[in-house]
Amino acid sequence: MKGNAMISCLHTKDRTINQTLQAFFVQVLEKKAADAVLVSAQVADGASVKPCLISHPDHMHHTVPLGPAFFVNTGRMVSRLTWKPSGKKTAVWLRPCEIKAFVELTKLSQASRDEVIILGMDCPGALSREDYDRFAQQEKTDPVAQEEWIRNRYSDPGNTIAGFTPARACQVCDAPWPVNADVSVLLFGSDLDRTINLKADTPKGEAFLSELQLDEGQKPDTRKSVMQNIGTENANAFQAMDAQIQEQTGSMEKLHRFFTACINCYNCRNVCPACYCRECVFNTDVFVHQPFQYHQWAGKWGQVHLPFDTVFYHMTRMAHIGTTCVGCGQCTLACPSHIPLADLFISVSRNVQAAFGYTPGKDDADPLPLAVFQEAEFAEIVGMGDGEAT
Amino acid sequence: MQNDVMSSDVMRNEALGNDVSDNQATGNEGTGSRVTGKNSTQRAAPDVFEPVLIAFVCNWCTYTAADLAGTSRLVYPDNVRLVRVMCTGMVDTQYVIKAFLEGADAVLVSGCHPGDCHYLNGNYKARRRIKLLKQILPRFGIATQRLRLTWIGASDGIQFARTMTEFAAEIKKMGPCQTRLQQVM
Repeated sequence: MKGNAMISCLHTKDRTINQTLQAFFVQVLEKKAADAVLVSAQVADGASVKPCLISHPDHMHHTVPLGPAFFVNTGRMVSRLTWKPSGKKTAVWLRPCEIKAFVELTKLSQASRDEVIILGMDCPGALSREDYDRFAQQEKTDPVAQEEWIRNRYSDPGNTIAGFTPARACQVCDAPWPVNADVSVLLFGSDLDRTINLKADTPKGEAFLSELQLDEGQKPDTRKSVMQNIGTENANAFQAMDAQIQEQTGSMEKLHRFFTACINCYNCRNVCPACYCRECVFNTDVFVHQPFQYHQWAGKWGQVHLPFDTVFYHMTRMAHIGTTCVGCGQCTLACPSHIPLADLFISVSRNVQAAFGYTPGKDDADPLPLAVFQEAEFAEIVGMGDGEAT
Repeated sequence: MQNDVMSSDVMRNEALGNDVSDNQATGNEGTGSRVTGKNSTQRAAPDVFEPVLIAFVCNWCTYTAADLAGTSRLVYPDNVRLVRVMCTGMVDTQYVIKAFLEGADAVLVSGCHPGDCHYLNGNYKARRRIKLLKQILPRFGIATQRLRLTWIGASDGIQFARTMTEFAAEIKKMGPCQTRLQQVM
C-alpha cells in the first residue's frame, strides 16, 4: 500500500478537532461502514475517559477521540471484542501503542483483526493521572485553551505546553504515529484549521474510506519533518532516561530500593496489555509460602519485609513481557505508590527487543521471539566460555 | 546463611551428590562450607566462601550424566544443587530469578545437545529464555557469568563432573552474589 495510497480528508472548518472526528464517527455509523465505533469517551459525564463501544450516533458527543486522558490501553479492550467472532464490524480508534498492544495480542490468539478496522492516530501523548485531573479541571473552565493544547501538540510538539508535560513513556515513545493500522489519521504537520487527512494503509482501510465517500485529501507537507523532529527528540529523551534508570537500578540493592514502595497490588500487571497470561502465576499458590518459611528467611537475612516477593514479581514480569512491552506507560499511570515503572520496563524491554531484533506491533508476520527458535543462533551464550555478550 | 536456598517450595528438590552419606550427615546445615570431595569430613574455616550453585538439569541428558558421574565415582563439588526437570524447555525464567533472589550465587541450566531433546526442541526454547535473562540480569548487577547454559548428554558423565568443577571454581573466585548477602525480594 505504499506510494499511491488513498487519502481522504475531513474538514475542520468552524469546529474543534474532536467535533470533526465525532462527526466522522457519526458518518461511519450512518453509512454503515462499521456497526460500531470503539473510541474514548467521557463516562457518565464525568472527567474519566474510557474506551466506549458506540453503536448509536446520539452517543457520539461524549467521545474524546484526541486528548491527554489515558486510563486504559484500548488495545487490550479490543481483544475483549475480538477474541472470537461477534458477527459485527467495529471501527477502533487507537493510539500507536494501543495498536502495537493489539497486534501482539493477535499473535497470542487473544484477539483478531478480522472484524475490526484499525484507525490509528498521530498521538498527542498522554498525561499522568494527577496531571490529567488538573487538565480536566481546567477544561471545564476553559475548553478553548484545551483545544489549543491539543493543536499545539501537533503543530509544535514541545514537551511542555501550557504547564502540562506528557507522561515519561510518551516523551520517550519511539513511534508516536500509527504503524500497522488500516487507516492512519495524519495530524502531525497538518493545517488543523482546514483539514484532517486520513490515509488508507491496507486494502481493508481503502475499502472503508471508499464507503464513506469523503473528499480527497493529501499528505501534510511538513508531517515528515515534524515526525523526524519528534523522533530525534524522543530518542534523546530515551537515552537520558535509560542512563538515569541504569544508574538508579544498577545493582540488586538499588533495584530493591527502587521497588520498596511496591505493595503488591498488581495494578501494573492488570493494566499491562503485554501481560498475556490467562492466569498469572502470582494469582496461583505457587508462591504462597509456608509460614515457617518467612521465619527461615528472617533468620537468614536478619529481617524479611512483607509483602514478600515484590522484586521477584517485577523481575518475573520483566522477563515475561520484555519481548512484547509496547511502552505505553500504563504501569506508571496505574501505580498507587508512584513508582516510575515504565522508565524501568521500557529501558529493559528495548534492550531485550534489540537482542532479538524484534519490534512489537510492527508486523503481524513477525513471530513472538519466545514462541519460536532457530537451530543455529545464540551459540555465544552456550557453554562455560567467556566469549558471550553481556 | 548459606543453606537456605533449598528451602523454598520451588527449590525444594533432591540434591544429588556424589556421595549420599555426606548429604545426610550435613543435613540442613553447613552444606555451603563443606570441603568438597568424596572423603571430605573436615570442614573449611567458616569465613571461607563456598558458593551455592543451582543447576536445573533435564531428566533425559544432564541428570542422567550426573547419575553416570555418580556411579562412575567421579568427584564434583557439592556446591551444586541439582533440580531435576523433565526438560530445560520447562525452566521458566521465574525459577532462575527466584533462585538468584533466594541467594544462589549462580544458576546453571543444562540439557540435551541440540537435536537430542527428548521433546524435540525444548533445549532451543531454553536457549532463547537464557538469552532473554542474560539481557536482563546483568543490568541489575548479576554478572552474566553467573548464569550458564550447557549441553551435557546422557553419556557425558566426565564432562558433567568437569563442568561442575569448573563452574564452582569460577563462581568461588567471583565471590558471593549480592542477593545472598542481603534480602532482595
